Amino acid sequence: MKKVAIADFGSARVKLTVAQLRADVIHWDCYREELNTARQLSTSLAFGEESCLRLVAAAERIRDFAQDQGCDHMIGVGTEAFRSASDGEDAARRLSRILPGFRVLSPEEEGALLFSAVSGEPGDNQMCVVDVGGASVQIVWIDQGLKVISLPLGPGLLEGAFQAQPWAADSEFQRIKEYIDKRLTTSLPQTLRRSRIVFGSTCMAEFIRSAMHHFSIDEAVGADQPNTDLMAVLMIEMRALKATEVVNVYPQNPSFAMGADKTLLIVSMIAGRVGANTAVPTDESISTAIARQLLRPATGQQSVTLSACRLQ
Amino acid sequence: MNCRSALCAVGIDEYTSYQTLACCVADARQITTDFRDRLPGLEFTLITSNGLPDSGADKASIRAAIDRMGGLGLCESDLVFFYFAGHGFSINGRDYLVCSDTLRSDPESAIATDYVMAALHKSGAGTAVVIVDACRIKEERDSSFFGMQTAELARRQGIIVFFGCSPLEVSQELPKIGHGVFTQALLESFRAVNPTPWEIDKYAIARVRELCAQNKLKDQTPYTCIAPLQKAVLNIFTGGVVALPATGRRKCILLLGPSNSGKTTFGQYFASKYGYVHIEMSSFVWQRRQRNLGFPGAVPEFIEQVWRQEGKDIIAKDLLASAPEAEKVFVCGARTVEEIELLRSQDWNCQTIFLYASSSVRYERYVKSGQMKTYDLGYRDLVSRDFRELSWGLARAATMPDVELIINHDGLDEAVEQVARLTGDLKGQ
Repeated sequence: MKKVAIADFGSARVKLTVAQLRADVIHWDCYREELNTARQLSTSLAFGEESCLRLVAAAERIRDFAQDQGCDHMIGVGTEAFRSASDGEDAARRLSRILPGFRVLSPEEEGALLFSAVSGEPGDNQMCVVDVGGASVQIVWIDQGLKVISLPLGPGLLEGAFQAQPWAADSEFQRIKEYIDKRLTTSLPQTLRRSRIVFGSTCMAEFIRSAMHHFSIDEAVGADQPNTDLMAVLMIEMRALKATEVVNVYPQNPSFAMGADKTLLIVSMIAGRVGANTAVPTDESISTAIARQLLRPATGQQSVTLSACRLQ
Repeated sequence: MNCRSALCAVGIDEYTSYQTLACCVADARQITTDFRDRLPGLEFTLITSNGLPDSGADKASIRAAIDRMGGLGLCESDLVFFYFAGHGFSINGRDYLVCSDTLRSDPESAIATDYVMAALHKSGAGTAVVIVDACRIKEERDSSFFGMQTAELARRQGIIVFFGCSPLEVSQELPKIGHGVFTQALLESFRAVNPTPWEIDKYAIARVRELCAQNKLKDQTPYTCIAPLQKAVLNIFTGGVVALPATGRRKCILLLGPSNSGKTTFGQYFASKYGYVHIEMSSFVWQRRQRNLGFPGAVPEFIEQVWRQEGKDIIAKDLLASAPEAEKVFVCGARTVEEIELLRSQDWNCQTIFLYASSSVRYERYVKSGQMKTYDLGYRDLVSRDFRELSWGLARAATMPDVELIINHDGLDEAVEQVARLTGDLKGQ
């Protein structure tokens, strides 16, 4: 395989990662299409026929797009949205007709993929990886083997469940904070202690850089020392914005910006609970991890078995 | 108690370039009479304008009286008072008292309150009290509120200050009774309650409200700055401690936030409006700093050293050791998670608020407040300094589940109402 496409169907959007191996270096391109299914999922816990049709149409478009890009293979995966929706299996079946081999990853597989993508050392027991998806958040760490917790705390899901508008009102944000705290209290082992958190989604590191620049924190505090306090500062700076100003923080991806206050809150709260003082954002995602597996099967860590469909 | 006491009372009705007032001279005279009755042997200076701008209440005369006060050579058991009724203003972060010959175009022709505070401190008296019934008309104000700097200096130097009104308010006069509303309430309080800062404050707030309502005046809420907090229960005429009756479960509002987020203004205003004792945690830092004058670094370095030596909750411990049994306390300025957790672990009904304003808004406030002249920090320096403070644990506190995040951009009244609703004070709960 020389050029592959990975389609990651989340609750809010489908992300297409195109990866090409040239002269032993992987080159990346990312595309996304908004699905707007998060609110439907959070209120009815099902995709419903309309959302399913949107998923299928989006799958057809991105498959054709991947072909146009010259990809020779493609893999489609689904995550929490498919796991939690009552009609998730049906939706996955319909997608597999467009993208043969499409399958829904388990939380453990998601965690293993991201952990393998961000960790140079498979046995790193000082690191905790937090994968922030639209619907779920995977928390992964090593403790006599890989441990994974998947929590329904994705910003898209929280928005659908708690917010009347895309930007949370103060009272809504307070309820979100209390909800996250409850979920973490009941799910995260109290004894879990890690000095470093690596947190990511497709554009997390890019967003953090953009936000630091927007708030003029980059030159003041230095971008080379990401710590948990910085994430909390960015969170409260985001909260101090008016709804109309939020997209300016990260114009490349306005919908990500609208959920970033919640993302930063989740990361800060997890960091506080595990006692981490370093928080490193990463652009690595399950898509980049899968692409590495496909393009470098000999060197990449084979954490999850997936089958790619050949594109014409 | 066998002690010396001294009073400098100033009342100015007539000015060269400020609007004439009606009751300041009478206020200063009555205060002097009252204090003489209460304090036999009182050493006093009374300065009034006596019907003409150039009749003795000029800057030189007032300054000379203040200097004399500073040179009294008093001791720990002694009392010193400074009373002022007249116009006040604030510019570039400095508070000024207007003399009869003060020119609007020249702030330095007025007397800075820091000069008064320094003299009181220098006098050596263990109990120093400033009473300012000033800021009587709104046009005298600029963007920084009169009294902010005075209160901050008082907290640092352990001086009790009674202000006639809170930020954003006007200290009003009532010519038909011949006194300013606040001074009238103050004089009554000396007879009605134990003359401790705490009791006087409570009485004056209620009485001023009553007088304003009866006479269809605007809202006016006296504000009292007490530091160190132990002085809240000090009889200001004897220097003795007054025992307090036991109270029920304490209600506490804990206000967090970075510099220039508006905590102090908010705290003063809220505490006065809803009957809380206002406590600034920075005053305990300053007390420690006063005891370690040899420390070579600035305050941030000093407090970091204190934390290293005595733990990151030490300032909260100082507060707990000094706090009188006030029923309602409004604590501003906890900086670490450990401080917050220690205060919240008390058997209090405690509500925690994180007051925030964006870096750019805080910078604007910093520039307007005149702090730039003292610290000379550009925007990035300020962000960097704030980040240091936020990294002490303050930022992390904002993510605590039961800490309410309030954005203070839209004005003091809005934020106060928002918090009062959360704490149940809006409905008098």
